[in-house]
Amino acid sequence: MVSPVVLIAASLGFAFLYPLVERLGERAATRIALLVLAAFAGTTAGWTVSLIGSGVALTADTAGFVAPLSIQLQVTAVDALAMTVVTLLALAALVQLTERATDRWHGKQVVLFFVLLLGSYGLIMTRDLFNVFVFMEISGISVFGLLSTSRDGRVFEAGFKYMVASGLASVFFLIGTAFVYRSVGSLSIADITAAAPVALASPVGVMGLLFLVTGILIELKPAPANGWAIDTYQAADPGIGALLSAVNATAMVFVLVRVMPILAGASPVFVPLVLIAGAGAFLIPQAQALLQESFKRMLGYSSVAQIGLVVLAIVIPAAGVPFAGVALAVPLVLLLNHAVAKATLFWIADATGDDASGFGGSLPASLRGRPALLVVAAIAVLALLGLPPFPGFWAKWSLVMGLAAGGHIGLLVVVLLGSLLEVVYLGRWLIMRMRHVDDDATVVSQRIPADFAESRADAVSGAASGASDASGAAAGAIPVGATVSLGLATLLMAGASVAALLGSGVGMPVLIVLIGVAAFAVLDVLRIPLRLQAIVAIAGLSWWGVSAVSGAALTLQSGFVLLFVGGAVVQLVALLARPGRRAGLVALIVGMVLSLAALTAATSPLEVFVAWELMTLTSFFLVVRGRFAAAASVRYLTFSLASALLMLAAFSLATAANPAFGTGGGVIGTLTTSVPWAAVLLALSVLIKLGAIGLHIWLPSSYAEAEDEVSSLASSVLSKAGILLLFLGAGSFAAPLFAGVALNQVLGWIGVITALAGGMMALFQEDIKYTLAYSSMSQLGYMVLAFALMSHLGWVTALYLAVNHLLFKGMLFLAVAGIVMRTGTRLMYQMGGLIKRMPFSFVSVLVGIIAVSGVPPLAGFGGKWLLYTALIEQGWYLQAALALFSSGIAFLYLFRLIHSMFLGQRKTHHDTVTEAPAAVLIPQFVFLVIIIAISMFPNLLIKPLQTIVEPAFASSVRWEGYTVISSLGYWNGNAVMYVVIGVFLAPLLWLLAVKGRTYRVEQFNIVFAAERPHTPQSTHYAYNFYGHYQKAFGRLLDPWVERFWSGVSATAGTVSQTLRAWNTGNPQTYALQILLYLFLTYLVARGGL
Amino acid sequence: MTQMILTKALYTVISLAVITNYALILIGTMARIRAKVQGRVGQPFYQPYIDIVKSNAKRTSISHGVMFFLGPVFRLAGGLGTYLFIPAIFGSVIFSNFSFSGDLLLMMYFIFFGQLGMALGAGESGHPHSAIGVARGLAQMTAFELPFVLSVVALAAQYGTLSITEIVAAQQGGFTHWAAFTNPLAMIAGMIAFLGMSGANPFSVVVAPQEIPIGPPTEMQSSFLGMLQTNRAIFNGAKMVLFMNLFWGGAAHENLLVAILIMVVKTFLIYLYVTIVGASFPRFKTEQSIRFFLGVPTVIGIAAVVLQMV
Amino acid sequence: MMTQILTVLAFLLMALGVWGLMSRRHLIRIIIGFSLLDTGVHLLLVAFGYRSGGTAPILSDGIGVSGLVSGAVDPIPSALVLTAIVIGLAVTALMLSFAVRMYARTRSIYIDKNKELKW
Repeated sequence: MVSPVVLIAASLGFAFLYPLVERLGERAATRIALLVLAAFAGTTAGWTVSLIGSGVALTADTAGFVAPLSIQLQVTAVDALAMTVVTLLALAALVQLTERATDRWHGKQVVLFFVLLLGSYGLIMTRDLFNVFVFMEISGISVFGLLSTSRDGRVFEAGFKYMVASGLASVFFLIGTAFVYRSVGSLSIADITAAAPVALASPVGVMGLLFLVTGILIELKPAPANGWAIDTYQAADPGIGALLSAVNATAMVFVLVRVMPILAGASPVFVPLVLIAGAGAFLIPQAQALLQESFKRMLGYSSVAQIGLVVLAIVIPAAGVPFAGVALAVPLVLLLNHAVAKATLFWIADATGDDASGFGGSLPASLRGRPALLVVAAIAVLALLGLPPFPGFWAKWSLVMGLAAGGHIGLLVVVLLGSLLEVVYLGRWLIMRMRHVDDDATVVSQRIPADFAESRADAVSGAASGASDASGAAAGAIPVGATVSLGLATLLMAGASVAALLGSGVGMPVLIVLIGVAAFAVLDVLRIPLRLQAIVAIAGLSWWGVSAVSGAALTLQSGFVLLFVGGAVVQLVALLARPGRRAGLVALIVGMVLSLAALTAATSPLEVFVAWELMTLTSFFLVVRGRFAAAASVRYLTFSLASALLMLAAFSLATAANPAFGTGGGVIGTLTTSVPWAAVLLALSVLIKLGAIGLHIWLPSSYAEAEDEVSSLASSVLSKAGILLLFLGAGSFAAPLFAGVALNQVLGWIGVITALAGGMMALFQEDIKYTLAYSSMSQLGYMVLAFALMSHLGWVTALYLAVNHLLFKGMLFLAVAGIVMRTGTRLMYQMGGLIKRMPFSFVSVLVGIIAVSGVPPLAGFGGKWLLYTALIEQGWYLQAALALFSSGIAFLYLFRLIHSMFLGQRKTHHDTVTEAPAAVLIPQFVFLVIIIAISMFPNLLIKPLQTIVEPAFASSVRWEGYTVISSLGYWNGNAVMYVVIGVFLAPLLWLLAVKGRTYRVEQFNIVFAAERPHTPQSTHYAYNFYGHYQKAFGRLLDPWVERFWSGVSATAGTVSQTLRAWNTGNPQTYALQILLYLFLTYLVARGGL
Repeated sequence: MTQMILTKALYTVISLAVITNYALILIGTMARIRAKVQGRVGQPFYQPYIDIVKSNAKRTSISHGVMFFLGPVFRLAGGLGTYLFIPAIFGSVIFSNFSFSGDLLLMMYFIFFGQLGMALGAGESGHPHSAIGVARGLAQMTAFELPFVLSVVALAAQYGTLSITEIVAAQQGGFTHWAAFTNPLAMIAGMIAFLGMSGANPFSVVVAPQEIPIGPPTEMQSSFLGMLQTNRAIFNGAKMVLFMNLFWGGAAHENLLVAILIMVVKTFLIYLYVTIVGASFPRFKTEQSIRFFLGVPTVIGIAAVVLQMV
Repeated sequence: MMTQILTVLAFLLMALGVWGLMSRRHLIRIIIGFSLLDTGVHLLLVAFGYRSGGTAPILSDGIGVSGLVSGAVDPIPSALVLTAIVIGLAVTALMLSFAVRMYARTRSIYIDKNKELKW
């Protein structure tokens, strides 16, 4: 094997030789440099392979001595792996820097680059304390040199600050080294580690180590003493930013890894000290990044935060399934995940020349229309956020599990909160970049145009958008260097993801999700038309669904598989209505459906969580496709991932208390925990996903602003995931919480208030999709209420409502999709009288709203009957009354919906609209047939649901023929149907008998105060339909929740503003902060003042 | 089997005939009483019959479309169904109707059936006044639903059942057993809600009959209107029977004729109460009636329910 | 004894450097303060390696290896200081060059006029 020394010598040697090489020509020289780097990469990769195989470290002593007299270099498998990644990233970075459009690197820049690489190698390999200092300085000086070549003139100011800070860090490190040497008499890290418990345990020793560790920490750029680093990131060439973040920082972390055993051996104060430092370094920058307007500066904050997380992971032992047995795996994976992802983002910033961040309509949508770049950026952002399937996800899981297992609840909170903040700013960046160019990112509620000006305003905005479209396209080509380096980084990330995924031990269902997405992505790349993709998806999912449930007994698991897959397959038919290509749509839908299926099949908390996250991600990317969905998807992403983080917290607490938590799989109560906090967090997480009142503000706009087919899927299929999770965690919610009140009682009240509030808000929407979205919220509230009963009938009801909701909401949303497609508007008052033009859609909507409102004889009544019976049976009287009231409200908005669209006066320009395409109607009528069937024969649905609930509760109803009898009452759906048919037919026949004298009249032929109206706009009563209701309720209908969350957002902004003001930009302030940091570490080590 | 169906059909016809004729006469009588109160002579008590015959005898009618055509059908079907799901006379086979199909919940939701259909039919006429009437009516309906539902829940809690027959059965044995006296709060809430349900003053803004024509029937004429007038009788009858069953002990006697007489007296009194209130108070605006129902009656209803819980 | 005096002096020098670094507005003075700080550290290293009355750590005929170990000044800190001085020199030079570029850009040699990047 190649000796470690060779790598150092070769780097240095090539750096010295490079000016000579450049005699061959600039281009040739950079190519040769790339070859050299490739050789380095080969060397380190070779080491990795053989060291992982052999399990021993590669050691080299220098200058003919042996340690401790010599400076020892050592490479373990972990080091080799890190060096491989660092080298590959350096290679990619050099490609990017030497092959870009402007400011191509050459000459001294390449020389300094190799010196920087040398320093990084040295930091990773050296086992000598003073040598660490030398390599630190070599890296530092090369960085300063490189900085000075940046174009931005502000870089000198930044570099100066950097030098002051790193000078102070060096001083601390040297003082520390001096003390250590004085106490131990050796500089070999191995010797010092061995001697530490004795020689360094004295106050003087601890003092020295305190200097030492502060020096190292400062080099890691910890908040709150890192303003100089942030300034540097902002001013530096993004290529240098990538190097700093991916290469230099990665190597520096290894210094802490080396020193940590010394610290831990010398005194117990150091582990908490490093934990606190790591926590602060993670959380503070995440808050500071919220308000950044420079993308590079934001990435700087993100980088220092990620390193903070790595610092935490170095100290916290891993737990949970992935990596649990491998030492240092978690920090290493986090580190490499960060290095690759962050370098990618810096390169994208360089390639697009777009350094804007934050939120607002003026920001460029620079990734729109550049699918390849978008995919790469998305991968990087998701990886940084620690989302599956990227390696950081598994590491974060193990870290969080480890935190909970170690009882570090405070740190757990810090990690989760920091992660959430990171979601906000990184997710926002991604969304702003990929949004539609027309979208000014403000749409979170219905938009009513100023009257009569609408058509003109549309025309103007249309023209403007056309122009910006063109300018977006002109931004065009990505430099070849960036293409290669981004490709290399993405390959690296993909490889690491696959490796981590296979090593994580998650089961086949999760893998199938990714395979499905990948397969359809390939179809997209092959330019297969949407229709063909949809057919393939329908066939594939049907086959998969059938094979998954055929032969299996009816359980919660197979029931939900049927619900998810069946519901989605039927709705996929609607995609056949749209010709052409819509990149990613089918892949994401398939991914969403398969991740829902994976959720049912999960056999461990990890699998549940992976499936949940994958579901969140695929649905997020579906939502964000909407034309005006930017603001909505920011909310969607933030709330969904907040929900996921809460779930993670719940799982970690539950697992810490009971290692067997959640290992059953797919049955009711699998995720039962006896830890009250875990139960509360789990409930909160699910409530967010279900859009419960107070946590619902993401729901309406996400459902409404998504593309029409996506809205229908999200509302009818996706929303049931939360219900499934409630059932999985069922046992957690019954235990008394406080003062004898159990969590399920709280859930019940939340459910019924959600049902009421959702209905109330639906009442006042002019936009049909917002009406339906709020209606979904309301319906989910009923399901939560029914579930919270924790009784046989309650659970049957919850499932019945879920099935029914899937059917009618699928119908309604698809019918609306067809109508919007034909009329080009979503505002109900702009429609009207469509019944004669779109009769099939009318029938579908009619049946849909009857099914929602629970009017007999259709299936909706079954849900109502079950619900009230179950509620009264359990003595939940007030909830029952409130539920009935909100069901009346539902009747109101449903009538408004059907009236405003189909009845009343038709607009003249709608005289020629045609019926919705067959592909959109077919799924509606499939659902319609199912609804009629279960209305006639309720036992077809209720009996299987009873079977599903049976394992948890014995049946509390009995059947006599078609009559279901509870302890309170009875209902015979079949007889009701016949009676209704009877009483309906009798008058109908009479009317038909006298029909001969009936004349059909045309539009406007009405008695209207002796005048014949002729403008539908002034005759169609539809706008502000329930104005009197609004008047009656007055301020009760104010958007309190919206206001609350605005307040939260404003507070976060204020906090961010306050925190970032700490970084004043003055080097002397920064120096003072560093001194204070030292003092703080001293205080922490002392345990107080 | 055939015989069974035929017998049931015959019983249904008898039951419907009784309630329809009775309710028509009742409506006519009440109109006359109201006229007397206002110092007018008023119509003859059989005026509703004349109206129905007249409407159906029109030579022409106009239709605005299929849904308009079906609207009155829905409406009448709703009225018929509502009545048929209620056992009108306790213990009588003839008047038990189709109450085996479902309990109180079914009945409460079936009321929506006719209203929805009618509203749809009225909507297709394209007349804004119809739609305005519907909007007002539905809004007011949700408001009085709340106290009504609370009182029903209180009853269900009190008797441990949602079956109307069983609720009536539990009230037998003297008037002190009537829910009106065993559960007065529920009765008060329910009876106030009933005012809204019957659409008389002060809650008559829905169909504002005296001024410009407004409300769902605005565009309805000839046999459509006739059907609505028939329904008005049956539906009102059904509602009064329901309230009689819920709060006033139902109509029960071993002699069917006596039982019918009891029903007549009780429902007459219930309707009289509506008429008296209607004659005494001016009309509320929609938002006023919403606020009214969500105020005192709701509080009373909640009190009734809470009393059952403690 | 000598070690103690040197240590105290070293820390004094460092404190002086820090004071200069923190209190001066002029960039060149800040850099001088920085150099003082560096020199203080170097002094500390030397102090820790010093042995009172020790000989130079040179292997010559009169003194064997054992004599060297027991009687000579520790040579390693001296070697370290040499390295550190070189590094310090490089950093100081870079700082000066950056200061020149900052002055060229903003026409001000004062630190508080050179803080465009913040927050």
